[in-house]
Amino acid sequence: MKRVIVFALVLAMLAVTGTAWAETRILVGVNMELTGYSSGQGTEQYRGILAAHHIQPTFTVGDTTYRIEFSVCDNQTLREEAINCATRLAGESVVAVLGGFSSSMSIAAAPIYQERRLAQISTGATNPVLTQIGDYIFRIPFTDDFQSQTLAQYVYETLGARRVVIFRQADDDFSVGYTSLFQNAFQRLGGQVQVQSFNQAAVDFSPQLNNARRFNPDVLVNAAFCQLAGPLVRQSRAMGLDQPWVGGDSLDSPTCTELAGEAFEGVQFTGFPELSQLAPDALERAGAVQDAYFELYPSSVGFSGVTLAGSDAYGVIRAAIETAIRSGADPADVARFRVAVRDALASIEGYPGVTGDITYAGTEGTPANRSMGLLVVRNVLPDGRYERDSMGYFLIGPDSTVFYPHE
Amino acid sequence: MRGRTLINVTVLVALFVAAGLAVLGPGLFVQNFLSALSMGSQYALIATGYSMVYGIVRLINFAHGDVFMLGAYLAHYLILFLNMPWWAAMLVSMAATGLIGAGIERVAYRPLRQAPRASLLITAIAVSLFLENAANVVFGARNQAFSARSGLTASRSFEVFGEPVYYQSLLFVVPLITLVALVGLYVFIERSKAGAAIRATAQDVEMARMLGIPVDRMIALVFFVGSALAAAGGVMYSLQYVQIHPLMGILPGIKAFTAAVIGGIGSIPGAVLGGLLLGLAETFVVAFFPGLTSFQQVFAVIVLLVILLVRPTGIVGEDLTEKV
Repeated sequence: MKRVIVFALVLAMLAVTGTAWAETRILVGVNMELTGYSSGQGTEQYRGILAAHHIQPTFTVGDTTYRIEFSVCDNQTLREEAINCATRLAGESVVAVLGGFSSSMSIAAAPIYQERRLAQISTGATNPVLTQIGDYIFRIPFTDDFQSQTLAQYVYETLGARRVVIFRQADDDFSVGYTSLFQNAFQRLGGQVQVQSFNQAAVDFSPQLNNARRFNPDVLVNAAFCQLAGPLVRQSRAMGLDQPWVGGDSLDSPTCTELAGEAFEGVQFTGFPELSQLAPDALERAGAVQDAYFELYPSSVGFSGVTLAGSDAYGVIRAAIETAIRSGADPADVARFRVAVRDALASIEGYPGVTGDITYAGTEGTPANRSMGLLVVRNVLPDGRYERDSMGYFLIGPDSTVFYPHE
Repeated sequence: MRGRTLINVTVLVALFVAAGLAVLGPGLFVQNFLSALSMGSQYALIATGYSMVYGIVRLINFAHGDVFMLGAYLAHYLILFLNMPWWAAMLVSMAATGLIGAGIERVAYRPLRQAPRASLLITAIAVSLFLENAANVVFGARNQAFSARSGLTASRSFEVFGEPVYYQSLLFVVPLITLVALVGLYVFIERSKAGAAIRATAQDVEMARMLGIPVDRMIALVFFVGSALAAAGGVMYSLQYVQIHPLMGILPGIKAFTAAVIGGIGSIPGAVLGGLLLGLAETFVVAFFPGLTSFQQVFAVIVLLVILLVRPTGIVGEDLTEKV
């Protein structure tokens, strides 16, 4: 009797797996901050990936249809877990990995990907160090040297500030790197900078804000993630500090307005260009992603740069995988296919993304000529919804970066 | 001895105020003092729970910080779904969290009454981990914004010697509520029959049992009261800092524990004193030495180490000599 049951079970299993053979599965890894400190942004990026996947989950080469599926690992916003996830994913049959969101997690995991020859596309890391780790490491956003220097220039020239206080999270790779790059850039322009620090567990910023007040700054710069940036801005307004707040792409997330409320009104930050600034066909693609996103997550508070990056990561890797297959690589030979995918990625030119065009060819992993927008938060509602309006955008010119204000 | 201590304390306080006014100026000094008072009151509330429980069952309830977190979340959802005013939600949350605290005692600690102390401590840690992970699953791991929107957080200012002091009404409300809670606690412990029974149980469990005191119920009552106070602390903490998340109780829990040890673990006045002192120390160390802002969170742990080395029984130390 027992043998009959086992036999029946085996038959059933074969039947189930047999039906899945109609499409060929290709596994892409996701190493993301789904819980823990950066869970807000990590979740938004993962949703961006899923929204783009919802629009195009498969592609066809010849007479075979390939379906992309995900092997998801939650790194809990902990470096050790990011490394564990990387090791686990490298041991599976994934052909590339998307994520992490933060520079800290991406940098922690990168050496493993490089060693195991598995391409990583970090969806949110802006610290320049990341892509220096190896030729298997790629990213979607621009880097902090571009970002912070451009903001320093904007603050000095357009806002006319001469004294700024920059607030950073001392135990985070992005925040520390960004702060020192901004400080150098602003001081080179002739301005004065005071740095105030706190760490991840900080709740009460009154010491830092009181010290900042004594420095008498013209502008306040926020180099922290929303979990701290939001409360920091809120407390600054409660304490009567009314200088304008600016920051980088770490502020480009609804988590900021959820935690800061109306205090976040008018905060300016650099990030991916606002959708209306894109060329018409890019705008159409972005609209499609936005529709898919709200179809999947109707109760979500906002659609921001963080989500756009996730969508483009998926789009880019899908394109690279398709290119690799078209050039003859066999997905069943995982080790060789990973190399083929990486090579396909490295030769991508002008991929039409929702964050702008993406070109990896001739770069060391950071997309060439990323355009960057200057965004401003407007019309914050009690539940955290807000408008991500454009103040203009920056383009890298031959000699310097030029700012084109929004009309 | 008493007289000399009083003089020493007065001199210290005078020095402190003088230094503060000199270095910070009157405006900032008052501002920091208000923050310190508010923070210290929250620590005092949580620390009282630690001390009460230790006084009666000689257990450091490591899950206390997570009870604080539960209190905050319960109030958050009460306000979100039932649209209660924040103070009503706080009262309901206090009662509910008190029951949960008593429940935890019944389920996790009572069966181990006769076990070695180490087992109790390990169980306390286990309860703490359980609560945190359960909260992760039930409430979600994301930081949420506390749903109370009270007028208490609006920024106001007044002048002190020409310098503006910015504050929120909340900064006054928190110490006030803490005072009311602690006065109520004092009256209860010192003047009521149940309070006398609790004191008896704390002094000698076996004797109390022989005198017919329902010891189990008294212990459950202590856990109820301690947890209710922690919930109150949780609600006020959330009103001020807005962010709530499942791990929010860890750091305040450690700090409140430090405060209880500073004041003398087992003593309620000690817990209050320790809480206020810790609040003052944290705020003013950073105010006097701006370069140390990164160390603000670690400060409590450093103080704990120092106290344990120098005066383990704390300021209002419990007399550890055993009467034979």
